[in-house]
Amino acid sequence: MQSRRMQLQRLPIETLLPLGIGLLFFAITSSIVIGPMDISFIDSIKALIPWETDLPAHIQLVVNQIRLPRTLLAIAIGAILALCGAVMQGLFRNPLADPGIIGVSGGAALGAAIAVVFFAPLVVNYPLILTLGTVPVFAFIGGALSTFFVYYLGTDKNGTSVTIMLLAGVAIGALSGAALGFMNFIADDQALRDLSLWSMGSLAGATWPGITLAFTTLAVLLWLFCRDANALNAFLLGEAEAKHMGVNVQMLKRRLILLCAAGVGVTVSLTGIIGFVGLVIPHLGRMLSGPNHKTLLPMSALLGALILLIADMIARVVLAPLELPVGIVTAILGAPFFILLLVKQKGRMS
Amino acid sequence: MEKNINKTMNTMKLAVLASALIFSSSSSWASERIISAGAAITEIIYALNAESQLVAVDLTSKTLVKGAYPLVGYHRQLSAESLMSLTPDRIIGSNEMGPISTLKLLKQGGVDVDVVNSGETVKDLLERIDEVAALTNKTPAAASLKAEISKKVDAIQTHLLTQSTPKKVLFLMIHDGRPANVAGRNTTADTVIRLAGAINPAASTVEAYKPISAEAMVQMQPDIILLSGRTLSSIGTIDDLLKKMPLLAATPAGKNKALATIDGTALIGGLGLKSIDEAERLNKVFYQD
Amino acid sequence: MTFGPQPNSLKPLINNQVDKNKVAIRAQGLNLILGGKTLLDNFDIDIHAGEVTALLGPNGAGKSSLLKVLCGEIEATGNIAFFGQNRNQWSAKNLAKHLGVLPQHSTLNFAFLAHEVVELGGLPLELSNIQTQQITQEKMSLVDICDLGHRLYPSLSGGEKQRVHFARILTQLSQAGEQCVLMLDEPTSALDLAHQHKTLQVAKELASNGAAVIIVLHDLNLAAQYADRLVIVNHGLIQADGTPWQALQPDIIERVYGWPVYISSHPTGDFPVILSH
Repeated sequence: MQSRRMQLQRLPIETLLPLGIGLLFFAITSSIVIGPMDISFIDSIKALIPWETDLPAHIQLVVNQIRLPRTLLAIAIGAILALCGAVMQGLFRNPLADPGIIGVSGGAALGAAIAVVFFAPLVVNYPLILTLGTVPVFAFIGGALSTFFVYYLGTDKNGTSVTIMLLAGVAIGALSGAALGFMNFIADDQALRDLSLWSMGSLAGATWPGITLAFTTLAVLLWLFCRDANALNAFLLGEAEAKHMGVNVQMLKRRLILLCAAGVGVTVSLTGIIGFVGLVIPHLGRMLSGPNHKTLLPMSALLGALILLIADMIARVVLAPLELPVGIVTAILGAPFFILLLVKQKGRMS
Repeated sequence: MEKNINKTMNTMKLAVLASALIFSSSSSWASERIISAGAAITEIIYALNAESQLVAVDLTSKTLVKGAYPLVGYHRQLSAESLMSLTPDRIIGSNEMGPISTLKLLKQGGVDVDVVNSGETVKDLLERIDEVAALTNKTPAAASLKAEISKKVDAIQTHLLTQSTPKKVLFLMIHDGRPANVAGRNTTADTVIRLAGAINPAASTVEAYKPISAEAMVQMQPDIILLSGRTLSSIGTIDDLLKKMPLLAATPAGKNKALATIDGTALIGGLGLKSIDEAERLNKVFYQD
Repeated sequence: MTFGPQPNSLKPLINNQVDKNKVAIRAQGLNLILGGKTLLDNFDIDIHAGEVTALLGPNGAGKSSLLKVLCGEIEATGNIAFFGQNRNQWSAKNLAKHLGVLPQHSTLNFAFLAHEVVELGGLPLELSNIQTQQITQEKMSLVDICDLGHRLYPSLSGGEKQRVHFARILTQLSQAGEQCVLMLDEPTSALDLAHQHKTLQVAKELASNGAAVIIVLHDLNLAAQYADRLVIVNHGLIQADGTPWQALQPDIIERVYGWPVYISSHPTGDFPVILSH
């Protein structure tokens, strides 16, 4: 009997989780202390303490109003994206799935484009609209509508076919791309620039209500997804097998898709499109602690938060005073890693 | 025209006084640190000899500055912390500066956020000069600059009085492999063409820079084709242009091989000082007598 | 359905309380048409506890479809009752404790360890981790995969993977008590000779402990050796139903399979051996 020995590098979750949380604290501290403005370590930490008032005002401002909100937002968004990525890869039983596969990103981009192109002129005259945030609202609605459409296409009386959903997601993406192309054509240079920057993602717009929304979403998603961890494991064996094990497959699919759409919709409306986190982080999580969703889901959330923190630090500092969109950094970090994974996968199959 | 300028000057003098009272900061005028978030503003700062106050500029001003300045990026995606790390006193830009959260943070951090107009008319330009001069404490220099501009504009008008028929000038932007863009209304090219005393046949049907079909171009029957210097150097001569776009031969411009160039820097950042210079020069090119 | 006298070689029943005539599954009036083809035609069948029922028939005869209809994977018209209660009235979780289905193929692309896959069988059981692990250890030794436990599932051969799933199903059914149904869809196709027999022996032992075991087989000799009852299906109808000696008549086999055969007797066991022309 032929058997291929494979290196098992897994670490137990009891080691990984504390280690990960420790790393996260280190990253949070770094994110507070590092930035384009030169602020000493001690001053940065002091600025966080509310009753320390003997610091110059601009240091207080930079640490508490710029670095701290971004740090918190990065944690929540990174965790949500990675979590949704892990769930989508389980739902589609395909390690190459990413949260956008259900059409959320395409629809969100289209929503944002409509907001930028058609509402931007209004904004100049009515700045209030901008503070209400047409782009985030439209992005969220766009993402929700396209997910609904993809789900509707893929579902009939027999249930939801993930294969058809996948194809429908591709189709919606193509449709959205065409509409975006048309928008590009009729938009002026400025709207074009705005849109292209939005689609590269940025954590600069961190507001306290936004942070609250993001963390609430994360908490809800973590709780609900972890409850379904075992069912997702069973789902990996196949839909029929999961059904035989007592899993209500149709309701599971619907629940997971809706939750992911909501989660990704929130991230897209708060930060624009940040790619690669949902695709690559679950792979890292599987490599470290295994594909069992009971460990994969918390690990993905942790690693996603970590990676986005690091990416944001790089985005802020590497080309100062220019600030890179964080989506570019995640792509630069994520793409080579993903290629490496594919090469390894190829080696395994030959 | 003189009266209007005087009136504006008086209002501005008052404003400057008021500003000095309201914004009495501890730093003296001479060591002001200014970030320019627009090519138009950078151009005026240089023209007013206020460049010693400049500490950083935006991306569009890259070609206008002499020496190495930190680039703060695209003016609609400014990073608050990066800007504050340059310890500026003020940032000057158009009303399109953003994002709003950054501007709020800058104000909170004690940096003045000053918005100047971004209009396309000569009047707007003159006001803009006054606004920037007030912010850089160069109001005396502004007067002579504005006088210069007014003189050039007047010279064009005088020259036009000797002409009978206005010429139709079409500005083309040509990129390889894509249809050519024309300058419609609300573009700097359109303003320059009109300042130079010509008519832009695309202004009635096209807004901003848009691609139009060759047939539409022929229908406009331009007398002169206007290209940016960079476009011309990549194409060659008028004959090369006609080879690329053979339908143009059916226009007066094509028949008479009438081609003019404009310095590309006169077109970025809205109507600027260079634009006025080019308008004056082109006026003589269009109408040679 | 008639049952002839049981061959002597079968192990005697251990559990005297098992009623061999107790009906585990009663299916009535099953109709299934797929792709224009009638796979089940007003089909009735009773599956009994405590015995191994083999479903046989040529390719496309409908035996796999019958299995899938019985376990609910394919919807068909008609009534299906498990242990006297209509299948629709069983909750999914409860049914999972009593009904285990071993599929013919299983795709799992993720790098689980073999023992983790077996432990997935504990999902409907609601036991603690320790208890589940004890049961999985026991079932893994039953199907002889203890030494594979810490191997990565994707690295196993087809046969090894099949046994892993068998252990998983056995884990799933470990709490079934007297109401236990095991369905196996061509379980021997990927296995080598030794494991084919070992798997069927385990299935037979389960039956002798009171489970209703249904196996779809295409190997007539294996069916003859291990099944208590053979049901030969073709064109959506039952062509033969009885003990191995009863169902495996040369004329029936030639009619159903389209190839003439000789029936002989196994030298050491009391069951027929089918030899092809």
